Amino acid sequence: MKIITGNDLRTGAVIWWTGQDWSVHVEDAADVGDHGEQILAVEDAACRVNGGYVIEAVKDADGGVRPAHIKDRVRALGPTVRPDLTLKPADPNAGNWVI
Amino acid sequence: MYRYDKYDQAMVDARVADFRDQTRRRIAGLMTDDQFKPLRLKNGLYLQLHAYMLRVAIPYGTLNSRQMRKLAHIARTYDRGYGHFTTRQNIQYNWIKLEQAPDILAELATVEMHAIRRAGKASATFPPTITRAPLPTR
Repeated sequence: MKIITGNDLRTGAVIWWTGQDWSVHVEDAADVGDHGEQILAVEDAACRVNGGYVIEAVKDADGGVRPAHIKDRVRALGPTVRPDLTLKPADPNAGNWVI
Repeated sequence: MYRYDKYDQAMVDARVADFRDQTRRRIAGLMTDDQFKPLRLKNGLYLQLHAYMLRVAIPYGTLNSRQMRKLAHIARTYDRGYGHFTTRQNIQYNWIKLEQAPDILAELATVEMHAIRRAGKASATFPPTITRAPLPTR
């Protein structure tokens, strides 16, 4: 599957295209097929995303979305050196999802 | 310790006002990212992996207590309660919001500090705050 990510223009937060809006949770990401660049052009012009790009991802066994590249998995979770600042600070296994 | 004269202060204050207007125009969609990026870099603001990062200059690596308290205030008010001092003795804030960056620069200007030319190619053509760390790093 192909998904879209970027940073929120105002806050800088890592965001994922859900099909209708943006979410900070990668599990909300929607498969955009071949329409990624088209969607990005609209969202960039509307100043809702900064530095957006299309990436490859796969569906987890439990239905979650897992970006193919480790860089984007790090972006999805948060800083690997500060688990307390990630989106899942209470999950001791969250880092395993990245690697 | 470097102290501002009236010309320094006027220049930094004008720079803050310029960046506030540039940021407003970017958020309003009146500037593209390609147009805005070199402007934010010249004001010390990167977009990194997780968020915007602001690098603040500390000339000669020295601070007075008023400046140190201001840096702490910025960390608590605009970031997540901390910053990183770099080997070149700047300080970096890692969770900055673009819409608040002009306010931070304005706060810094009140204690004779700035982030001018602290990022990107702009920093390569401007003297660092110090030439290297005073102590060996290993």
